[in-house]
Amino acid sequence: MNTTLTQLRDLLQSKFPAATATLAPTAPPVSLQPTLLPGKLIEISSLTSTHLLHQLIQSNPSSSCALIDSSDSFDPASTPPALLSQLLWLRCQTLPQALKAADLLLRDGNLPIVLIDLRLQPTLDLARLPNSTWHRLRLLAERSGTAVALFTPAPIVPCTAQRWPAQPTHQPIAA
Amino acid sequence: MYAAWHLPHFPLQALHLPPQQAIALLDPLAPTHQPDARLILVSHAAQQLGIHPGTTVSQALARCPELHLLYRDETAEHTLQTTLLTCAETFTPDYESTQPGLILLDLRHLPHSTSWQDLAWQMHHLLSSHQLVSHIGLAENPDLATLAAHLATPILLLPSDPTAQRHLLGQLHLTALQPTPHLLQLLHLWGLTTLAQFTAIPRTDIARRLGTEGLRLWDLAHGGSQRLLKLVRPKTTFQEEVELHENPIETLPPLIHHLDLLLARLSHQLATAWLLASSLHLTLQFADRTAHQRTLHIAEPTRDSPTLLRLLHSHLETLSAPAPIIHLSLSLTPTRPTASQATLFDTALRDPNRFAETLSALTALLGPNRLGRPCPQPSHRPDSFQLTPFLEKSHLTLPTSPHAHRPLQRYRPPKPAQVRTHQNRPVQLHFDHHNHHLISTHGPWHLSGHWWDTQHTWSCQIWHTLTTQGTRYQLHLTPPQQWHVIGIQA
Repeated sequence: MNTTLTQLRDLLQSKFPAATATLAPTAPPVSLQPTLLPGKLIEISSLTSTHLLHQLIQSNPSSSCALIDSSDSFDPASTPPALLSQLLWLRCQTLPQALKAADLLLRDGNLPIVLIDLRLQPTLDLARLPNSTWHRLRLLAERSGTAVALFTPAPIVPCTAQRWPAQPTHQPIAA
Repeated sequence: MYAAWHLPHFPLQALHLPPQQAIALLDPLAPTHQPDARLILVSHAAQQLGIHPGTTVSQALARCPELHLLYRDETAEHTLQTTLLTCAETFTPDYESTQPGLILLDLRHLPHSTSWQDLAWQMHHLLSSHQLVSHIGLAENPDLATLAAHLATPILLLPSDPTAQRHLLGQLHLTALQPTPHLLQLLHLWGLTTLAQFTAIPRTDIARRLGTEGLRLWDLAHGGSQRLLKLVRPKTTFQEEVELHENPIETLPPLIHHLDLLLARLSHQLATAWLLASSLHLTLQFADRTAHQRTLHIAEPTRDSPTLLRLLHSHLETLSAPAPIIHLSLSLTPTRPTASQATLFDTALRDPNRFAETLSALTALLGPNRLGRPCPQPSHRPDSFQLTPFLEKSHLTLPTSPHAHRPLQRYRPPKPAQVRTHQNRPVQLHFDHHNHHLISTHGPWHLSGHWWDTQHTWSCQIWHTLTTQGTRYQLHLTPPQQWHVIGIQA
């Protein structure tokens, strides 16, 4: 019975890759690329990680995704149009605005992926934020099952499930 | 029983001109002052002077120099048709606007208190009171009523006996069937001018020679069929208003209370009509004579009043009124429940209406034009895009910019920079109080646009650079020597 079911799943996966392209399981995967985890926060700490941002948008092609752009730095012209069609872009002007927007979106829980770009924010400003800010985001993500990726200039967030220094290596560092 | 109202020379009647005047109508699209332009319609007085539709303007003027040449007026025709529909509504709620100048009325559900003949005269008198010449035909089905109206002088009650019907309708000219000009010409070439001559030909022969169009005309000439009318229904509005001159509203809670009551009433009206609301239109008039109008689109059509009230509440929380509210108006745009289904592999939103509320709150937080789906514009101008509402369907087909081969993180606005060049190539960059030595530069890529517009013309050069720290900056040079760092490539 189990063998037949596994065969059927394999057959479906090979025929309909889009249908089976779901979010990664809760256990941290061992891969060379960052993976979104439903209900968890991951942190990608690098100034030059726009290509990773594109990859994460593309990782779940059947779902919509929100990009909270804390310094209004996203460039639609250099992004593949296929990614833009499922993207909700929030052009924030300040850090508090971005955090408030993240809070609203995570409480709403309709979008399964929320990417928060804080790369152009001064590291000092991010470090001054109380830890409760990040813990609140983590709790909201857990409650709504939303996968959250934070793009920061340096490792800042204390409660991430995974942290990725995008350069020079692509190995995950345990949080 | 059905009644047909036929207004002969409808475009001429729409102009409300004296019937004894020799008038000819021209196509408004025809070139003006063209002597070989052909007349499309002529009045009875003009016909008596030997002028017929199809005559050229020069021929018509040669025959009758006093002839009045006018253009068809579509607005006047539309107004007259509306008048006809209003008149029809006084007799029955079931009527069809078949074509300009022809109205069909379904009289089957009317109480048979007066004879059909008297009813037809009442109709005729009503239309005459509007200075209209009308022919009214009554028959057992809509097609027969239409043919009877063409034969009426001014009214005709078609008998139910088929032999009598054929005898009466047989003398009608073929134009009453409204064939295509080509088919009418062909039938004339065959020597057929009346319905009797046309129906004398066997149906199979007509089908073989003239096809489906010929068959349709033959069936029509034989009495037509009991078809369903395309009934005209007045547009239903779902609107409620409250005058608050005596007790102006100054705070949000009483306003929400009023809106709650209005929404409950409107939702009930929608429920009785089996409709849902697709958008809300709110109008607030203030004591200082200003007004606030806002249309709120509903992500998933609904008539659930608490959901609609939440939508209004999130909008009103962001509104500051300049003066007390003295008038409140709320209208709903009705729509039918959707029967569409998302595709198998698409992930739908869990609660679209809640998501719409969240978007409304985000718009209030970030300001207008700060969130949505990014859509590149068909231009090579750097950073040209527009934001489209996220809940609208996406129609993105544009390719990426040819010079943007690496993902870019933009500085908005671009950061002014000082660049030292050697042999016209950047070698050192200074911005944000830092010096950067450039070990590699690519470019320049010359871009320009709107050269035809002196006010909006633009041109620039794009450089891709790599610093010794390994950061790739994209530089922007606008003439004569204004350098900007427009972003980091990653």
